[in-house]
Amino acid sequence: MKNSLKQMMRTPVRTILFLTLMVFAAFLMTLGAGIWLKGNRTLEQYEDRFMTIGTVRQIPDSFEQELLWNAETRDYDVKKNAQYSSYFTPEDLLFPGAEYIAGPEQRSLFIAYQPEYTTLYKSMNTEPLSWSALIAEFSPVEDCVPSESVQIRITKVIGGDPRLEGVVDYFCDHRNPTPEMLYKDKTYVAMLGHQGFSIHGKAYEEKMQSKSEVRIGLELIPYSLESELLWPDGSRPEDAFRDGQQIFEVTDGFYETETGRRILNLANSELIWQDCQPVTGTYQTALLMPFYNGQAYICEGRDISEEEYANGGKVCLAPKTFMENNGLSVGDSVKVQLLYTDRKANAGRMFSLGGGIKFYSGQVDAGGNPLEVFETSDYTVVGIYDVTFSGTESIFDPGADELIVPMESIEARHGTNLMSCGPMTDVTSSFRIPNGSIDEFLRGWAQYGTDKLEFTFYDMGYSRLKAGIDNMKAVSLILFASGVILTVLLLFFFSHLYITKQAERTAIERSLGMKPAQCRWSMLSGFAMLTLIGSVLGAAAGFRMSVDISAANAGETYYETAYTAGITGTVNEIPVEEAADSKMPAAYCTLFIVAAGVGIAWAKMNRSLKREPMRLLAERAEE
Amino acid sequence: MLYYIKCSLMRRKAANLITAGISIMLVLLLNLYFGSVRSYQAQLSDLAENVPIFCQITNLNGTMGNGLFISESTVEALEGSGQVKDLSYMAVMMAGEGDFQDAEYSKHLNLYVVGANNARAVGELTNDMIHMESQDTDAFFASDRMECIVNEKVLAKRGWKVGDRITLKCYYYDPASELHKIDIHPMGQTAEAEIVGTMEEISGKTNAISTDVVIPARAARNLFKQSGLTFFADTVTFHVGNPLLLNDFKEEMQNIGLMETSAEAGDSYTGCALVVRDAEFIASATDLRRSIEMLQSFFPVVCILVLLIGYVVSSLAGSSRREEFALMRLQGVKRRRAFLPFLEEQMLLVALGCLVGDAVAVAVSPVSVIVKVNGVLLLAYLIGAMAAYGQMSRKNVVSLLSIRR
Amino acid sequence: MRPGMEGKMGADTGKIIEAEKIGYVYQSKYQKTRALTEVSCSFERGKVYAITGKSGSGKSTFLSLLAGLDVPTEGNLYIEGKDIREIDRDAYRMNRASVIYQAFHLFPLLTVLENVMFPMQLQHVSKKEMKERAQAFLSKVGLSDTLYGKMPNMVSGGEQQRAAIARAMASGGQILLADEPTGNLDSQNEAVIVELLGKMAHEENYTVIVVTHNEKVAEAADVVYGMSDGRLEVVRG
Repeated sequence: MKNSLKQMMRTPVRTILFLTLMVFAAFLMTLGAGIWLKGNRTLEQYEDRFMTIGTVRQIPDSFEQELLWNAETRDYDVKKNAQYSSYFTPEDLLFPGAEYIAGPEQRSLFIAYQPEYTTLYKSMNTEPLSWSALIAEFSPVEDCVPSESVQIRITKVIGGDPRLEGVVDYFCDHRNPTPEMLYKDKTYVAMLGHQGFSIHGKAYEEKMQSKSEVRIGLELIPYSLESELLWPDGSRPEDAFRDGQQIFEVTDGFYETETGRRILNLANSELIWQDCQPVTGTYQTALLMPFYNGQAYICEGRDISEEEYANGGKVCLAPKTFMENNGLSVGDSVKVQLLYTDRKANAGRMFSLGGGIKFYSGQVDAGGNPLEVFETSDYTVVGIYDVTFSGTESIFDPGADELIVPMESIEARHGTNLMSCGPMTDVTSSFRIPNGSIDEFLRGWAQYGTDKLEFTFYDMGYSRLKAGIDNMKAVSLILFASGVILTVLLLFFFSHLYITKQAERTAIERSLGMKPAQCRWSMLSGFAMLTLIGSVLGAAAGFRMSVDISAANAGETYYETAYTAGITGTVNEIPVEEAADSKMPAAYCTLFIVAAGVGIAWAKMNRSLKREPMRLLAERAEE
Repeated sequence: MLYYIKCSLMRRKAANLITAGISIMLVLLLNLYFGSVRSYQAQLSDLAENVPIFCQITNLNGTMGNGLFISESTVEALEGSGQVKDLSYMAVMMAGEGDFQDAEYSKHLNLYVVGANNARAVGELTNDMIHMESQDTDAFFASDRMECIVNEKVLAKRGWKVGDRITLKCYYYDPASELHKIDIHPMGQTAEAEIVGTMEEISGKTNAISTDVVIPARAARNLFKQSGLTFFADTVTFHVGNPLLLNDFKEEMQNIGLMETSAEAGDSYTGCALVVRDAEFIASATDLRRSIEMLQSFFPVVCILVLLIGYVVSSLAGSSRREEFALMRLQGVKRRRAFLPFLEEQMLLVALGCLVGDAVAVAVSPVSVIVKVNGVLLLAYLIGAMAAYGQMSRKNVVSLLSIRR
Repeated sequence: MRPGMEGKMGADTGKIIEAEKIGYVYQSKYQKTRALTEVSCSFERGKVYAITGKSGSGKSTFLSLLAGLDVPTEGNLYIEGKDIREIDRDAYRMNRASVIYQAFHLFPLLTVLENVMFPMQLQHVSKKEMKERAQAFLSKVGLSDTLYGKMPNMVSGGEQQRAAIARAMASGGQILLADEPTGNLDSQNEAVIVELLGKMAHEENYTVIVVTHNEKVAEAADVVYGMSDGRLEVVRG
């Protein structure tokens, strides 16, 4: 090696140039690799910010007409009900070639009975809101047939707002074409509620005419006592109260009868809703539209991890208002008592952010027995989310107090206490597929799927940006590749100068009796040493520079976050592993350059060695 | 001499290929470098174009986005701002048909009247849900005439038809209302509006109260003005005009007087805060700008590298031609002319490399960049070669000839 | 008259080169080295001159001065009567004087034939004539036409040196300067080259000046100068 280096030092300018160029080639390659890796990572991050999700809805097979008596128009209203021969399930979406990042899922909404916690509704209202559904005994003010709005006096509230006792209100057996006579000296019991029908009828109009009554509003109508509970497969059990009598006369011993007990059980469950909290089970937070579209965002803590979703970890995301109302913080646990399962609605549909709640009326089983909490567990709050406005109220709106939990964490998730069931809809069913694969998905679906399912895709504009992203990927790869090729060419260039052109030296050495291996060592060692020194220096400089540049530029804040909704603290965060990571390209580049250098030189050397020394000596080296 | 260059080009294939190859790679590298910067920049502007940033006026604690009282001055400032686009705002009034006594308002007040500056402002209404015969919807929303579009169901129920003039007695929501108890007051005289179109029911899509009558926002504002009342918008949404100028936009919003939401603030109906849904944009754009700046910060390094490689390769290639140069001189070729064939040959190879590189690079680089890149490269090579041959030509011919031995 | 040939002494005087007390000092950054001291001599047409001496005696330096590759630092050197400092030395080499070396120094990228054509290219001779003349020169030096298309490194040393002589002839000059022309050759090839040089001088009126320390080459010369420590003296005249 000494000899080899000595030989190189005889042409100091060339050697220094070689060393310098090797330093720069290694520098360039390390930098290129650095840019490439960084670029790739940036692109991945950038691509990760885009998510493509699809929502699913099942098209009805047909529509069935239902005739409903309307006491106001004295005619039947025609109501169209969608008919489905069967409900498709997420499994039906597993067609050959389908690639899902998450889902497909049909989420279930669980209603948890949480009397120990302050719900949004309770925080806004100290008393239950008047005129919501109630189960009460009443008597008509006059003997009457409630085929139009008639006045009744509520004599006893069995279930519902107790302040309503004694109130006189309008009542109509609105959906019954042949209502029975009500007598003022008798007491009746019914589940009463407003269903959007205005007060109507002659009696009311007369009072309006005489200006003795100015109140406009809605009449009370009787509700069915039918159970809303479904079998876990979604079918409806037999129930004698379906389409049955809704108004009952209270007689002695009435509450000991089956009907009476059913009414008492329904009454007991009547005000449950104000203590209820929606719990949404899902397989990925991003599958929930409010999180996907940025309406909901994690403002404290973290998201539920993939492992937690997969393993059914007892963790949850809780809304900020709920956490504040109950003095909870990240890391605290929430005791969740699941009472009902709903496979049709989403939380926002039942528990609106404004505080309104739509609830079930038939909260008993088909035998009229009360329903019990079916699963109780403690969930640790790992993240708190907040909600901004979507502009207009939307079907995708999150629900008040909505807890997000891994679907797998709920053991009895397959339809226990199932209150409502329906086909897959945009609000309950979704999946996530790789960005840019919508067309491929639809092609596959056209081949294997049914036209009874429709999809809506959301990709945050990815498909419009895709061409640009692909271009960036290609460019960064070619950039790196040309850096590599350039280095290889430089190595060729120098090995040509050092080895091919030094064939004569090899020949002399061999003619002096040196073995090929010694010649090779004599020639290669210096070349390899210079290559090594050059590449180590260059790679170190390249590494240093890429770290400096990354650090300088990672701290940069380009955009003000004033007014920004949903800043989670992850934006502008400097990835910590960056510096450690970028050492790898430096090491690989050094290795690559030395290996390539030695390899190329070795090959050239072998070519020189294959020729006879005397022939080599006789040759005029081509220049 | 041309013959000599030709022979040299044909007979030094390996060396020539390496020389041309290095220049191809340098051209590619430079072009890709510039192309990369450019594609990141293009992506940034694509992002700004394709991913609009939604903004909404909310109350101070950010819990409400509609049903607010948003001052007319705010609406006007937003309308006049160059940083705002797709401004949608609407005001909600209650109305009854015909004239009636205020005392009887509860009996008559059964129409929801919305003043909106475009279809989007009205819930999830879209232009194709509006049916007009005489004019287009944009012209309708832009006008200040007392014309209206009526919900089809309302039209049928009330027996109205397009072309009718209806008399409306409007009530406005009182901005002094206490929380959860909104007061409404009459606006004074009645207003006449011509029905110029119908709109489909925005059924099922939202839980919002169905809109019965829509009038142009300017007409609504005039109604308030004529009654001596201050106009308030119920909902205001818009998009950031140019997301790339997000900071300017935010500065302007501050100048307009919009506040940031504060979780500590109490509930209120006053729409004085702004929520900008730009977290995703900021994250994505920050990624892109970081990449652009990182690439740009490499610019001097890349230039120096290219110059150095051009120079060194050229000068080394040049110095390997010493014997030939000396022979030329020995044959009586003038000093200045003796190195020309070598220089020409070298530059021809480099130019050839550049051309091949350009042919590939044209896919990612604009012509201006390609020209610049070629200029820089050729210059680097020229300087390198000149230096090599200049140094060589100063040397004694005999010493040049004896160097190899 | 070709450029570089104008002079106060006509061709008829016979003396084509005349050295008048020339001296040469190599001057490097750190030291001065005297290579030639008061060298005076003259060279005539039609003769072979040999300059002998040990290595480092100044032979090659003298030859370089004769080739116009440099100028003497002292004294005067006249080429056909004109001071070498005043003539266009490049044109002189192109048209009048050719040099051949021990290492042959053919253009490595040109074939044997192209090497011979090269000087004529510089003189803008037509392609056809150039080729014919080159072939004639090559055949004159005894190279067979199978070698014409070969690259220099594919032919033997003797053949290369003959090609170099043919190239010297092709330049049209009548002065041939040779620096150890047989140094790399075996005795058989050596004899061929010596004979060739003699023929050029005696049959074609060339002035052949050979720097050598090979006695056989010196013996074949008409005039032998000896050089020692930069001084020239006549050994055989």
